Amino acid sequence: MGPIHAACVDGDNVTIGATRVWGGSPSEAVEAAAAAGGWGLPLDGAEHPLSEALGPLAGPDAAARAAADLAAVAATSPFAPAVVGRKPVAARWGARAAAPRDQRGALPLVGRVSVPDGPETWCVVGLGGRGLTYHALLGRWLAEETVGGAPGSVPVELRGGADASQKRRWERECT
Amino acid sequence: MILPDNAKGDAFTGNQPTSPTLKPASDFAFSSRPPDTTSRRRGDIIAGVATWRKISPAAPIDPKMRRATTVVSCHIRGRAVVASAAPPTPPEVPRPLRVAVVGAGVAGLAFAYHAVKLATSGSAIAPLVLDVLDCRGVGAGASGAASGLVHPLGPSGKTVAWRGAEAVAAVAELAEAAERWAPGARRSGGAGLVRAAGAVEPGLAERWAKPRDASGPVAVASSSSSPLPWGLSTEAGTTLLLPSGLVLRPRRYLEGLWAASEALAAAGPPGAASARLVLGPGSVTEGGGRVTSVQDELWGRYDLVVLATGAATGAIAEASPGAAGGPPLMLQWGWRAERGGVARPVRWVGRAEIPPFPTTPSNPVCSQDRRPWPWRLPLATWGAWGVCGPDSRCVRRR
Repeated sequence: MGPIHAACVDGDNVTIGATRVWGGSPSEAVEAAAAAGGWGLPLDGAEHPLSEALGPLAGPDAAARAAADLAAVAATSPFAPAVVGRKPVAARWGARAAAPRDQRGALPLVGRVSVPDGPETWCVVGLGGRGLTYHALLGRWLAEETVGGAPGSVPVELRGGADASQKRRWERECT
Repeated sequence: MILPDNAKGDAFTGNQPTSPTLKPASDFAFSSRPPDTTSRRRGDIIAGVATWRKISPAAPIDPKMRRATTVVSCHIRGRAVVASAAPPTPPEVPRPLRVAVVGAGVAGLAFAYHAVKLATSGSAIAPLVLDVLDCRGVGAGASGAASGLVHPLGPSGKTVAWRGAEAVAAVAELAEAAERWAPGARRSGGAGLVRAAGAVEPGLAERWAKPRDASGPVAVASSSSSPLPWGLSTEAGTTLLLPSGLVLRPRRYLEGLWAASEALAAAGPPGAASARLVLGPGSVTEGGGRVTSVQDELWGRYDLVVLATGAATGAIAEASPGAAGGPPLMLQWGWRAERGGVARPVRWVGRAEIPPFPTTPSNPVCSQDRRPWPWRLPLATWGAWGVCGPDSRCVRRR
């Protein structure tokens, strides 16, 4: 499990979050994405198959259980003063897709997707745990590139897909 | 016979001459359409002109190409035709660009907002008809489960992430719009706020401290007596407050961002943009459920498709990581929990005085460097930091 993050939301409320690498398949990711928005996940540090991970979603106390699990992990972290003693308010989990890491980090991927005889199609994926940080820039760049008619608005560091050569699809242009 | 390259207006592209003014043929501009910059429209134009080039002067002219015949005659004579040869036509109204955004998460809604903004400001290539498709709702996936921290630091904590400062500034702009339109954001006071100032990264600070300086606090300085409002102690010396960061409530933020997009479209010039949210199983595609194939389900209904589907990208045939040419993706779980309701005694020894985030985009050369943040704290053990000048040279400083 990655490092735990915490932040003051407002007033006395604290949000804590974490990310864990999960080696599921694309089809399992689809299933997970469909189930996202549910509540609860066991946080004992072990890797769980998707079926086990989704199991705790059932039941009325799933949210409280998930919040308590995450708080138990956080209580052993530097967040202990902020977490211990506070009551769980809400918990959510979701499946993310991250791009491979290179020397610039795990930057998102943006590129055209080949759709024979189909509409012009772009894909923006791989935001991983940095989605909130990069989404605004990605949205602006892609809108300028497509709707604004300004080719090259999407930085080359992010480009992939059909714009790249066949050999270098979805690889970083500058790596 | 060779037509000039600027002879874009013709029966092939569908453009109409807009002015009956007599002009020399060499100055003739047949199209009233703004300069097309998309490859799709450039392709249309090139194909049309190429077809024109194949027409022989002796070739019979299809009656359907009557206006084209006039154009050809024009060039043969080297002067403009009589204005009445072509019936006056009303100014061309560009056909709307029909856009589908698949996925109502952070990426999809940010694109939607900026697309509507471009269209309503007159900066788009055509009027915009935008649909956001999601079978489950706004922020229903992993976007809604983000912990909400927005800051420019990279994973190591010592460096600014690639274009990190620019990214934070861009989020602040959207957060401002979302906060204005988020349902109940103003009525409910603090509990309904989209964002809060400051972000905390104990994990980062912990990692900084251990390998470099395990002897004491590294992330705080006693330069301020301002307390942390929620009782986070800094005794352990492993907590960092970034006052310039943002903390978002992801779902509320996304609801506000979409509301801002709708409001922007409604307030824009008539016909410039429309934004529609299509939700729920069965409403995305005729077959029900989620989009599984752009070609089969969206072709003919949209001119442009933006896939912002996160982990569900694997469900779309053309973009699946397993498909040929599909993006390589690694899957993660992300989760958040919110706790509160119990007041904690405040013990706060100070906070880091962090300089404003630079807003100048990093240049290509510098973007390859992981630039340490220019801390102004007495934290010499953190090593060097660098700045990048306009001449693309990176200067390392101690």
